[in-house]
Amino acid sequence: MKGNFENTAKLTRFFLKRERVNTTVWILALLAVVVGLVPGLNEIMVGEDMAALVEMMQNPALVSMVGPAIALITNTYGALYTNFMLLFTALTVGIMNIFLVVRHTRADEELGRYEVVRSLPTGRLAHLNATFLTAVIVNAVLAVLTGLLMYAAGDATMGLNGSMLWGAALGATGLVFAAFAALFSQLSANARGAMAYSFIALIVFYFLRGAGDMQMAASWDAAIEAGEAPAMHILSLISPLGMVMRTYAHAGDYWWPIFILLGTAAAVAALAFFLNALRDMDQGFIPDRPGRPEAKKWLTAPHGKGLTFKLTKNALIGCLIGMVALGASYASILGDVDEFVARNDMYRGLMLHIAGIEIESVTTPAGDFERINAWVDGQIIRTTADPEEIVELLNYAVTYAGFTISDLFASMIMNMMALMAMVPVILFALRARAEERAIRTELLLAGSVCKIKYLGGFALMAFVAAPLLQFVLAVGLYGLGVALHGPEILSFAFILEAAMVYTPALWVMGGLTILLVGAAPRATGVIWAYFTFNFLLIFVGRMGDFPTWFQRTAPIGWIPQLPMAETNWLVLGGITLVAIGLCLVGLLCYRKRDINAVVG
Amino acid sequence: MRYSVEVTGLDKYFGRFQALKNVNLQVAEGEVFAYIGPNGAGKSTTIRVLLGILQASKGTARVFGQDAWKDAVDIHKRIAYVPGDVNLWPNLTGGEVIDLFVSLRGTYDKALRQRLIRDFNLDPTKKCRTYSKGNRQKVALIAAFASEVDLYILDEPTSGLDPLMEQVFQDCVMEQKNKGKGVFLSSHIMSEVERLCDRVGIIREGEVVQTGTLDELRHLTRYAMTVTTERTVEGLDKLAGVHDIAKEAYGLHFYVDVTQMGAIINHLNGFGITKLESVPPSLEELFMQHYKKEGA
Repeated sequence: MKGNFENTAKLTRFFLKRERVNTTVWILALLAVVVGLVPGLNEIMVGEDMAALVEMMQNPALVSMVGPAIALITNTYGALYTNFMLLFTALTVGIMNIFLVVRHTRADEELGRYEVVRSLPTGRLAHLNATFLTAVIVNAVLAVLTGLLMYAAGDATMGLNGSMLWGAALGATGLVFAAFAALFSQLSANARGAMAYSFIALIVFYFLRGAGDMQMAASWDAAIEAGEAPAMHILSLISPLGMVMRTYAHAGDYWWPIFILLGTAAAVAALAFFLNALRDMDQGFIPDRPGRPEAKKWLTAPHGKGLTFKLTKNALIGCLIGMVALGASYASILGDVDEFVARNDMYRGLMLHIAGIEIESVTTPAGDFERINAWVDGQIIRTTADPEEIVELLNYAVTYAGFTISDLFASMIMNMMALMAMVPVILFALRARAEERAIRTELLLAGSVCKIKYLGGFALMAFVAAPLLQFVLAVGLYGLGVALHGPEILSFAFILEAAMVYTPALWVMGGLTILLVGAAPRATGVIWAYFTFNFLLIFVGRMGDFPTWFQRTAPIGWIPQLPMAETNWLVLGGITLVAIGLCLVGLLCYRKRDINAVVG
Repeated sequence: MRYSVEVTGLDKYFGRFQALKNVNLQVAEGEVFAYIGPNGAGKSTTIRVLLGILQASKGTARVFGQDAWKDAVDIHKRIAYVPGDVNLWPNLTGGEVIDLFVSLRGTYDKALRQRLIRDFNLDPTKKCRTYSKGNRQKVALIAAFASEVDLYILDEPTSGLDPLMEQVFQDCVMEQKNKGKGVFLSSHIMSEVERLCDRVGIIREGEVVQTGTLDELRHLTRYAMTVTTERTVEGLDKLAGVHDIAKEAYGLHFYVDVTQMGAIINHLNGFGITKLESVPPSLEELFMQHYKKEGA
């Protein structure tokens, strides 16, 4: 077996070079979020609101999403941050690793690159070994940078030990999923399968720990009060995504889970190496199922429309499920949000502004607190002398305006969710360009296919997806919200309207994408820059107010945030017309342009 | 005469690069036309203009008398196209893709489809991602020949096929030819061209340098001659149209321009010919001469 790993070092260097853009962007984006949010969340969370937030982490629905209530252990900002962020960040690092490993193993094999590498004087396992080493280096870099930068950005409750543990937790989880991806790359005979199995494993691990964490949610508080080290359920601990939370970073700092995770990664990787040595190239252990020998009738619909549907159908279903889950995930925190929102200055201000209510604090001439008055349209609707009653007052005021606090909170986060829905809408329209790049468009256009109707199929998909995505978002939000917290918490008509008003903005993005595909196929990437602009406008726009004209340069800036602004059907109709216009111009340009103008 | 393909004064620019320079082509209905030339000469570009996928910068391209760009959708009901590099959708099966392509053209003969799948020995239940280059090509070929069309546009359609499948392909083309269907074939396989084609067009660096039947093309080139005579031949090198004279053990070997053949034979007769062999150039040599000309 001598020479199985021959030339691993050279291959590793080559793989790192291939990753220099892709993985660098991943790492920078991860760092930007994880480290960037440290001071920002600190501002929002610390203070009188923190107690409410820590309390909120005990909510079983939230525990099922973000993990056990670690914040309860030390009641510090560091612990709260870990509680909020660690699981989702680890999940994202896992996804990065799955992409990284499958890209270099099964995908390379499918594209015939692996064959070329094997024909060179490289060891039988060198390719897989180099892939794994690449993952080790990438995760190590991510771990160290996260640790150091978090320590630099954090407050006193985020120590060096805890910060380094945070980084190590990310890196170790990443390696576990790198190993699983390597394993599934041996089992499945194609990259798509390897990717699918890896993601199924990720999801199963996520739900496994969710089930375990929920079991412990009730006894967690008692254990901490009794002074015991809080335990985690066995179901959580057999999942790497549960084990990563057991580090209790910034809340006790345990390093042993890191070693268990690394051991798991090593064991799974060893199995992958073993299977790789066992199998022939291009073969897998899970056989490919045979498909249909003949096409179903709808697939052969004229002008490639059936094919377009087939190509985007699964992605649409996935995104619809994702939007329901997104809505549902916010719904799970609605019950606790009332108190949190009422106590938080920024949110309270926003909320009252939305409801059209002013709150006035009346003091005695000596400067002592006397009472609080709530005003609507120049009339006092309620007066109270007890500042603790402020939550109730807010509730009362909002109800007076005809809503619930949850309604308003849901409406406030609606623009962020609409941004999420924007991504698939853009992707469906961009798919036409992806097909062209893959040199498949000309095969279709060589048939009796009208170019306008062909591209129109993708445009239609994007335009139909937009209201569907917003609709299921509203359903998910309302459905789980009512199921968890009772029917009086949300009004469906209101939530539905608040969600659906974003549809024209999504259409504009879809129409703009079609315009780019038709008129500037080489510059379709511009749409992502514009998307980022929309994104920043919403995020930064929360902190400081931009002038109206500036907000109106992005489609999402035109959409009224109910009920702060009323639904103006004229404006929405106008935006819709703009979207249709962009789309039509794109279609006409597409008819006039060459397909895949390559020299040859 | 009615033409299935008629290209006049066609220019195509990609930015500043000129891919096609004043291309003129005419293919009669029911004719099998070979379009040959070195890689990068502009074969595929011409074909894409004919398919209405690229727009002509200057000149016209007409198929069945209709404009290749404006009337593409109509024209495509009557043509079938097979590219040299077939890219398919990885998650569709071969059978699904065949049905898709055939249905986009209109007509559908299920028995014919089954026969072709058998002849080409394709497993239609496999996903396209698992197909080799040859198998992907088979998918496109089956989809083409299962369609009832009047013109087949084939761009190096057999570059991934084994000799057995190459034979099946040639049979398919002959079958269509006998039915009076036209074929526009771009190919590098000279035996294929020699066997199937009525006329040949040669393109080099974006220009069509020669068109005609194989015989016509041969007339423009040199024959190889070997001659033995009773007396030593003199003055042969003074004659026009004689090249590369070499004295071999078996006799005198040289090349002659076909146009000068008569004068040369007359000259040789004076020395008492005992044996004379004249070999037309193989297609391979013919093309090598054209490919290399000027540029070499």
